[in-house]
Amino acid sequence: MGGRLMHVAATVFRRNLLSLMLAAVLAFSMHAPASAAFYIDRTLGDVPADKRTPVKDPQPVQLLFSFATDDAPNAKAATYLKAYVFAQVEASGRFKAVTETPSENGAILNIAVNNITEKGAAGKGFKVGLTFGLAGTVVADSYDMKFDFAPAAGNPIVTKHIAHRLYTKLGAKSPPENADKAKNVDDAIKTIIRQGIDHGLNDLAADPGFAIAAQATPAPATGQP
Amino acid sequence: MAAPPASFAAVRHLNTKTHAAMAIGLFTALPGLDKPITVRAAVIRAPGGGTFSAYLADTLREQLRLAGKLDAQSPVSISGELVESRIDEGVAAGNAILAARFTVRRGAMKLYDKTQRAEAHWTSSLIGAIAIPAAERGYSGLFGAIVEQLAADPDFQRATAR
Repeated sequence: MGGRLMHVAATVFRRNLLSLMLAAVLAFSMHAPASAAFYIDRTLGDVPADKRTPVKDPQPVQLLFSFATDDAPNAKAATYLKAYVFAQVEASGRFKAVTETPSENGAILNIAVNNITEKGAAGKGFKVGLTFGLAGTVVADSYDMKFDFAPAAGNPIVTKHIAHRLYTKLGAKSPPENADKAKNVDDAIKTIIRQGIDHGLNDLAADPGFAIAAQATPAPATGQP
Repeated sequence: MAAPPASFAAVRHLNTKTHAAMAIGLFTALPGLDKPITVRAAVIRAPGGGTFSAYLADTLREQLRLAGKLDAQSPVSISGELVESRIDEGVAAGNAILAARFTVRRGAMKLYDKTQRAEAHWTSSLIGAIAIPAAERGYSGLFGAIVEQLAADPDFQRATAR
């Protein structure tokens, strides 16, 4: 009995540790063991249809994307999410073409995501693992998303900020209130990113500076001759 | 370490019409600085099994590419040498330092010769699975930081003007 218990304990600990290491590398909910459940805060949600700001004359744009964890650049997470972010911006319909290299009018959209992890979350996760999930907990990750639009023709940069939140439930604990459960960590982070981009681009589209840029005469590319 | 991320600040500095297109020259390191760095039980290596000086070149190359200013045939070329590279990782805190000497040449003429240096500080952990990725992020972010500093340096901007 004692040997079996030790085996179960070792298995749970190893599984949690491996998941923790993977999540830490990607820095999405760095405290997340395999038994974790992920919840997306409902405060932001998707932009309601009647709140969407249309863009009459979409212009081409160069898209730059970066991801940081606690303000430190996280190139692995950026690489993991880059194609998804490009697809979301393209699908928004707010730009005529979305390219990684300079656009024909010189406009740049910069999306910078900063994942602020809850302090002491790792310790909470290990406590849950060591008690076989009996000492459950919920930890929260904040996502600050910054949208900079540098228009063509030298107009001022338009900046918008969007805040979102991801909850990770570990062990025996009630789910967080005002949050929807995600299928897994991949679904959770992509929902956070999708909703953030939806709101960020909508806020940009509603800004007079964005409209001015769309009306400006396209300037030659600032790229190499 | 992963591929160099895009830097809005660096691209904005590099994509102005006044900048010439540039080629990436030779990137090297002082003895010992291109070796993988050990943090606790883990070894931090440059992406693709390359060297840290090559990663610095890749970081600069990526920002030039995104700015539309990368041209392998350009007479203006940038070279670099890692002169300082260190990770100090403790139980409670970590820090890293990276410095590189950059040289810009147009043909045989040296236009710029200056060292850019950056430091990173982060909260560490007793748990290696937390501390090691934090150290890797803190250190790898310095490559982008010194490229941003280079791009923002008025002396560099003058040296690379058309």
